[in-house]
Amino acid sequence: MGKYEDKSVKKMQLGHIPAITWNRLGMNAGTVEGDTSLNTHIETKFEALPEGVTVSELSYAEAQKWLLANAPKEEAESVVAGKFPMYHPQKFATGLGQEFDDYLKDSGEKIELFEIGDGITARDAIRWDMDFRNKNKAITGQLVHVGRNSSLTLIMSYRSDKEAEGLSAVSTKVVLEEGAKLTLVKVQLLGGGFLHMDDIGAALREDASMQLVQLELGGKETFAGLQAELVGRNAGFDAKVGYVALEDHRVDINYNVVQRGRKTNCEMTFDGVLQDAAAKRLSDTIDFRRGSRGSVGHEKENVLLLGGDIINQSLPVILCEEEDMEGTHGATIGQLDDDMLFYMASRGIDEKTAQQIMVRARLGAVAREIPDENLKTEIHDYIEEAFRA
Amino acid sequence: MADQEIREVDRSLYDFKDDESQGFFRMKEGLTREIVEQISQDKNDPAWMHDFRLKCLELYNNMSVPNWGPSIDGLDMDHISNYVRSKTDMKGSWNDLPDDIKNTFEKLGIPQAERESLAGVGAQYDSELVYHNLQQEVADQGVVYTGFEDAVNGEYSEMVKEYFMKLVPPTDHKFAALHGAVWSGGSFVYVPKGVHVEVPLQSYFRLNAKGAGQFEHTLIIVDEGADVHFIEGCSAPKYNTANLHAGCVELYVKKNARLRYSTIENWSKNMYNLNTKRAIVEEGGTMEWVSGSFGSHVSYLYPTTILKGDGSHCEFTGITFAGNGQNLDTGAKMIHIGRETSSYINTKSISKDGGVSTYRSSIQIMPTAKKAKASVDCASLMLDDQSRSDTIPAMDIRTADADVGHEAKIGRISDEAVFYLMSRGISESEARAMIVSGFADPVSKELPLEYAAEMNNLIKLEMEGM
Repeated sequence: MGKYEDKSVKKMQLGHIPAITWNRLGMNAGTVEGDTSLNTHIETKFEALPEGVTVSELSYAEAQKWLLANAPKEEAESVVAGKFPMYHPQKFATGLGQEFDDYLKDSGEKIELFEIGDGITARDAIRWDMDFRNKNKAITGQLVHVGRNSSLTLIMSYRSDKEAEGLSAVSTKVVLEEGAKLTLVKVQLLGGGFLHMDDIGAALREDASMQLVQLELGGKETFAGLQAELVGRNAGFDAKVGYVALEDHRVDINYNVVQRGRKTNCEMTFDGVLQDAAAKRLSDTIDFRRGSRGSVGHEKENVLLLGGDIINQSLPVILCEEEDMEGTHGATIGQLDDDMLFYMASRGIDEKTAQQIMVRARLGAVAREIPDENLKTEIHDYIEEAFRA
Repeated sequence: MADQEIREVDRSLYDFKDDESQGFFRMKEGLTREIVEQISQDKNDPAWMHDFRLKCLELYNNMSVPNWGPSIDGLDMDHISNYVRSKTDMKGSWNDLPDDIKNTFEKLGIPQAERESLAGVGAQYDSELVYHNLQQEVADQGVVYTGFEDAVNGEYSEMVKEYFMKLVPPTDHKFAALHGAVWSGGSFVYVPKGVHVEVPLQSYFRLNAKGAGQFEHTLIIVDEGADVHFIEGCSAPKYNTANLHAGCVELYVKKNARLRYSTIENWSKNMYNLNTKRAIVEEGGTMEWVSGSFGSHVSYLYPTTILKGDGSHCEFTGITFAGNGQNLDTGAKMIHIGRETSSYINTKSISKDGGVSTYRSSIQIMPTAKKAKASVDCASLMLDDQSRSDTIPAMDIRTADADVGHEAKIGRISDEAVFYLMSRGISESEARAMIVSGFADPVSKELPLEYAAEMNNLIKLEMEGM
């Protein structure tokens, strides 16, 4: 077992929201309940990287140094009422926060640095499929650096047998130069006994854009975090996130987009399905900083409740210290409405089948954004099987 | 049309002071057991209330200040006098009051409002009620509207004991505990079964004293099938030292009853407004809040409604205007317990001249609240880039059999709308003022005419009248 000798780590607090609210609601951060010890090292072998893409290994300290040298500098922090005390200020902000960085650091794992130079369009996506065996517990870290006016697609997927248990932890940090484009896809199809933690931090320079497609469909306990810093003028961020939590499973998501540059754009959509005794916390924040003139930010959340004593916690936050902007948030949380069920029934479709159609439709809308037909089929089959049971 | 301009709220109407050296009694600053004992003794508390105050003091000393809201570091409890009594006891006629106090309320328009549009009025000056009156015909319906201390010691003492600080327990937060320890003044209202009070009751709270706290307690019980509208107003002159308002409002809405509770808050900009308001609604009952927050240096204000009974309903309509030096953290909380309960929150907030406005809310749908429906609609307007506006709405839903919707919008005055109005011969400043006025309109139209007019004093006329 070597360095992965089982040890019990204190319960991590992940996904702190940038402006906290009443503590009694228990929504200011998520607490990891599962065992966070590690026992597996994942060997990464990329047989064919797209032309122009290089990959190298860095230690955690080297990766931090790289980020300090290459990431755009953030402006001074603004003062928000009840802002989360930054007693763990991150050098490069992510959604899950400093404790997850510490976790990665303590693991001793190397960080993979993917780089693509200036002016290159990578025609093929980088595919990183992580197949976990039962009781595997592993963490990986990536840095992704996309050069000026270059574009890259990175597709990451995590899967295991349906009944498997284990731990999957991923840290992905992204720096996009002027005019760079990144499509990042993360699909989690792990077994029902997995603890999954997926952390993203991104910094975007002028005219850079990032599209994120994230599907959290399996696992017993899932934490997903993102912080995107739209530093440069016209930087754009688009996220489509889908999740499913059934039985006693739990999903905890913290997305925070900071709009600093002029005319930046943020679009975030979250589609989820909850059933049985499942629980979910989603905090999604748009943070307009002074100087982000002409910026636009929209968040939208749809949650389909399929029955049972679910727990749905939603905290859509808009922070604003700029006059010239436009921010909106909309949420609809509930069951299928009676009119729709009546319409379906009139066409011979019973309630259960109608629910399955709607689940496929909602999550399918997220999966459609994935530029990989095989993966889309796999997702479709995974959802079918989950709801067939 | 006169030239218009969007200006910060003008508080000169409220910024006049009475000389406190003339016959006022001021308890020494700070909060000690001796001070609490003295307040209790002065008020001739029954034993249970005396013990309750001391228990609250202990709780207060062991609780910490909130870590999630605006800073209250400028509030030094060692320099706040928790009890200031003016030179008069409570009167039933304005003419019996000392001239300076009477003139204060005349300037605020309270006696005039009473003559024209109110069924009853209570007026509190610093820590004590100085005036209380109820129209005879309303009293003949069995409606009780009296000073809170009279209720504690009078024929309603058992009822008060049953309800006092049960809805807002002193363990709720530090300033609820403080309130329990040093409360003084306030009103008690009881509306008997089936009685509809056609015209509103009003309490007005004036804090004249410098470096003082006001801790009035309002307890309203609206019995089955009854209906009443209660209005609360408050103001203070401005000082350069901190004042504190930590009142407590407990509202009981019984089966099929309806209560509308309207507030126009215009404390001065040295005020820390740490007020707690809570209602519990039984089966088929309706609670309506109308809330305007314009004053205070710092405000924490989130009226809470517990929809306990099946089919109970609540609506909250609020506006907050934060100007220079103000950090107003306002919103509402809804707790759905009964089946088929429903709630609707509609708020507007405006930030200007460096003001900070935070909309904060929570919607909790408990597992028992099957077929509950909740909807939130909040809009914020930023009038410059020196200000700040945050929206922090939480939703906690614990049954799949519920329907919750939320919409939030933040933006500036649209250039297109200003351009359109200017193309019709309206100046830019007029156009901006009209748009802000329209933004606030959904709240002002919920107020009775006289209070919509007061709100106009606070924003509309300030924007249109210059």
